[in-house]
Amino acid sequence: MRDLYLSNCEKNFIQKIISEGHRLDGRIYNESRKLDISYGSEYGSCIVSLGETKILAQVSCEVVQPKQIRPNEGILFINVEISPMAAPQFEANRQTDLTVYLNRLLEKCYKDSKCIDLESLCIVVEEKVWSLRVDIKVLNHDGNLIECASIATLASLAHFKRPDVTRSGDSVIIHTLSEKDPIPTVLFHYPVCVTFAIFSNNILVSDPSFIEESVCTSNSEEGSTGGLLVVGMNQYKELCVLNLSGAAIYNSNVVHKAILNASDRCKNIVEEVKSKIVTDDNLRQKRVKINFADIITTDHIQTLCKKDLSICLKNFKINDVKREDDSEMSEDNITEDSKYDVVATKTNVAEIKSKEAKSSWIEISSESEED
Amino acid sequence: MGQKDDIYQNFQLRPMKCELNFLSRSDGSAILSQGETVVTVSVNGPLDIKTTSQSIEKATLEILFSSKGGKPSVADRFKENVIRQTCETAILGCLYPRTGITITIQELEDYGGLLSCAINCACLALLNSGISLHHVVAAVSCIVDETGNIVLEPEYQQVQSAATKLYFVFDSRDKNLVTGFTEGAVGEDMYLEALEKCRAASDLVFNFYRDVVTKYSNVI
Repeated sequence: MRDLYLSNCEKNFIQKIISEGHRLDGRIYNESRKLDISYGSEYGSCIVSLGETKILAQVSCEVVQPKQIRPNEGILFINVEISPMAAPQFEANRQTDLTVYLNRLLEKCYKDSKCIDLESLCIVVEEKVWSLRVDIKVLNHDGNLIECASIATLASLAHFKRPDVTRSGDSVIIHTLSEKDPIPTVLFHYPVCVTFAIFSNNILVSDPSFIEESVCTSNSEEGSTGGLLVVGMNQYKELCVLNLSGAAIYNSNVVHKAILNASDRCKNIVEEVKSKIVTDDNLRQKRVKINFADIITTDHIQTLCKKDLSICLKNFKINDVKREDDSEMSEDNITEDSKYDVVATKTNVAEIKSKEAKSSWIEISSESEED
Repeated sequence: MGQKDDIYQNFQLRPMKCELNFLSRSDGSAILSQGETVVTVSVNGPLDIKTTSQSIEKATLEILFSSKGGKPSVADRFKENVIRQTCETAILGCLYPRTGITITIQELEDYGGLLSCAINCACLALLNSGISLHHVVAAVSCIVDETGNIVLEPEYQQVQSAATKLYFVFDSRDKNLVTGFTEGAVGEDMYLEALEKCRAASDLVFNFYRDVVTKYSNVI
């Protein structure tokens, strides 16, 4: 992994605005980004996006021999991959600390909390059990990978259905999906992880973005306040995972506060996951073809235009935003259906304009040099 | 839209949908669906890379193909090779010496023609990233069915039953063949006929690129 440096002014700025009660994207402390879950054509495949963080999860199954110590239990295997697609600093096919950390945390959350009925995955004791493999692929890393990955794992596991089997004597027949209806995975409870970033004065910020996360971790490395706190809870508000770093270790108040905040958030997430699965199931019963192609929309072919760079600070008034919208519409008749609801502000637009002028100047000069 | 549908039907190309800048952290990215096959590609570069893999003459191209689930396989490496060779002809690598360009391809749905979809998507992501190109490339796949007919951009069932699959990649300038490979046995006449058909169909793909870029450049 290439090193990524955080500049002092970025860090100081983030710390300052957080201590004043603001966040870079205009959220309040306890607000999370927009959660979106979309399912693919196969059972157990989904893309979960939390703001701009995007993760692809795919569950697959195969019949294997069980472990010696647990002859009547199926196997759950979680594999996390972070490719250069997530962010340029990651290298291909290399395990980083982040990958191992994520993998371990997800195993804690889903294996060690015993949320999956592993005994139901047994076919023949000591001989054949189902092994579920969850592949987590990070498509875009914009902070809070843990929460997004855990939602993706939960959503794909709850959505997954394995083929039905029949035993006749010694042989086991695995039916294809068209022969017999597949069986859903049994989940006793639905645990989900949420992340909090801790800033000075024990301010807790939920769903930290990439830059907030890096400020926090750099603070905790320097030994002062800061750090990330991961809370895993199920829909009954029972604690499953707790991962502390930095200031949370020394201060139990922060942890208590975080757990209180997390319980509602976890419940909402689980409800959202469940309702998505129900709607998806209904669609499938009506034989509607569900495909990842559905997430491609033609309305906003270009999502780059930095007006949806979600920076939104205190001086931005809603009136300003509206006015900017109108003027832009008249300038060029492009549908204003941006993917994001955050719209440009006065200062932001001015920045873009100056950038454009700059870039054109650079282009001309570089061309003339080449000629 | 009606006119477009007609063209698609004449050539029997599957409908294409595309979104550029699907991922915010990459320099360029695209998601493309051709029929039910969906692929997303991110391009990062030119980047600083290790001195051992640097080249004085041109940019080093790194391609990563990642299948949807399961372990990486030899088939993935094969796809990486095909895409690398195709992209190397397209990218003006001599403009970026001693740097690296990373193209990461993620399969989302595979219902036939995955490789041609991946190449087209990679090309769109390269366009999006602003890396200089000699020309754009368009991949078209076709099969020869039992009766000896050539079917362009076949549906999933047709792919499963087909004995011969052919893939062609053309450049946008002279419609020259950039990459071509086949699976299964095919006669020489049939091969040439398929080549001409795919060459004609590649126009549709180039038109599609043009549509996408027109929309895109309107916004910026």
